[in-house]
Amino acid sequence: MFKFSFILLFLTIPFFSSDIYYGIPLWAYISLGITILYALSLIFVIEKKWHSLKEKHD
Amino acid sequence: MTNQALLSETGIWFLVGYLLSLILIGVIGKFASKEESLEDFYLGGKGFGVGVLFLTMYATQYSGNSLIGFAGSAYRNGWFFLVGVTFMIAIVAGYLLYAPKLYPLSQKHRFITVGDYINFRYKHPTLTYIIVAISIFALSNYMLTNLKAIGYVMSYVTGGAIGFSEGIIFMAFIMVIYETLGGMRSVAWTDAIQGILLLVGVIIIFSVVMIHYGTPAQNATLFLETQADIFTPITLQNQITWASILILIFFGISVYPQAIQRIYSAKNEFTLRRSFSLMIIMPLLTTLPLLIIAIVGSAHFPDLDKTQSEQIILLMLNKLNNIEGMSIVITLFVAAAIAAIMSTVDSAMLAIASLFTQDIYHKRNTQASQRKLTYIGKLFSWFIMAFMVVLAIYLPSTIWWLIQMKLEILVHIAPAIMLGVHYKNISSKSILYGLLVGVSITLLFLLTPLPSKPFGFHAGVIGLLFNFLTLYLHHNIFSKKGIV
Repeated sequence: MFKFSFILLFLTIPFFSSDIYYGIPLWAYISLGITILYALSLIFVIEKKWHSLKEKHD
Repeated sequence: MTNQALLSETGIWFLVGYLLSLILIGVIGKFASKEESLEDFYLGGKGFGVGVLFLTMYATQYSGNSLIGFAGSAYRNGWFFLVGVTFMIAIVAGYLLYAPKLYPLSQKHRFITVGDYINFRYKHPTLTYIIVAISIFALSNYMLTNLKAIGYVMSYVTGGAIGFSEGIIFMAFIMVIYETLGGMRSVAWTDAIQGILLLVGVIIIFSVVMIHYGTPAQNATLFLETQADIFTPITLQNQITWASILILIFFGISVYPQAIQRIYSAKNEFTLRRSFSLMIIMPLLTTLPLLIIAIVGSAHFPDLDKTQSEQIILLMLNKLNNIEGMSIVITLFVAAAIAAIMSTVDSAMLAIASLFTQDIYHKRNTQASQRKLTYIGKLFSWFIMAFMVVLAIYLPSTIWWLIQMKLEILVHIAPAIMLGVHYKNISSKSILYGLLVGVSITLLFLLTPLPSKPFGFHAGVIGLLFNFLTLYLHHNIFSKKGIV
């Protein structure tokens, strides 16, 4: 399953408007937020699911 | 080029002290070596704990480009360069596709280079040589661009007292001396110092800029007056570029040979896991602050050209020169930039020397002793550094573009590594044909009048698609029927 997790990276592609909030466009908040979620999920996988990354696929 | 030295006399002495400490670490690395063997020299005896392993990965991944080039890109592209934060995290995700399986294999079969794994997995000399050649090409490129950068930095900060060429030669000598003294141990230990300098430098500079220039929110009005462009709506082309960059970096940088060597050199699995976890946090503490600094800088210093924009951080700090203690911050920035560049060059040089010694020389001289191989590796380091220095100084700018396509070519070795560790049925021929088709299509777009970014995607990404497609078709049509 993790093999395909890089596809989640595409969720960081900016899709929202460029309306400015506190000097930063809206899409940047969303992209950064998803990037941080992605980072947290990677840390979870590394710390808790490392052995599942070694599963056989043949 | 300025005629006024950027660093104060104290700053220059700090820099000299820092450079001498690197030589000292080289000497300590030599005394710490346990035996004259390639494993001890190129992997530090496979004994790195979390602290050193994480810092050497960090310093190696964040080159001089991170500090100077990233800031310039962020200045020119505004918030769009947020993709830089995402792709630095994506690199670690790329490691996770193969490292958990590759690491135990590397311990069991005593791998030293990426070529060792390819040879072990596919037992196909031609495929191994092609992958080693692509790796050396990409690493040479890394060395060249960073050597050039260090020449410019040395010349700039000393106000021309040290010229571009002299700067390159001087720094190259220092790197090759500590590298040949202690090998990976010296490189990793110096990387640790360089990594700390980089992180501390970025955090302090970010704090200084936020205090004196203000946050993005405090600069909102100024943005609209001077840099309204950075708030233009995102276009489809922007979205394609974003996706293309992520694919290229995910599959390209995560298979850098020097990164793979660091995976091999971990003391144990826990060390590797914890280093990866820490690496995931670093873009938020390094790339993101640099992005914000450069964007704030773009509001205060609009209309800089490309070259000037790459000096945006120095420009911002220089304007604060009347504030007490600012010379220390500038010295810290310069030291961090030099550290980032050196840590990349030394790691690339070490990886090239190990690829040559283990995958080319050793294969042709199978009876050579470990002592002789280590000696050959050291000798080759001097040769490759001298060669790169000459190229960095004399390579005409007209062929410089050739160098810039490293990632678009390197990306094609990813299937061999990432799929190879998971699927034992994939044959060497499927990988080889995929690689040849992928590289050929990439070069077709890059070297002919065809668009270098077809449909907005990098040529390397389109080539990689054909690489995977060829591999899949060959595997399913021929290999499964046993016609290989």
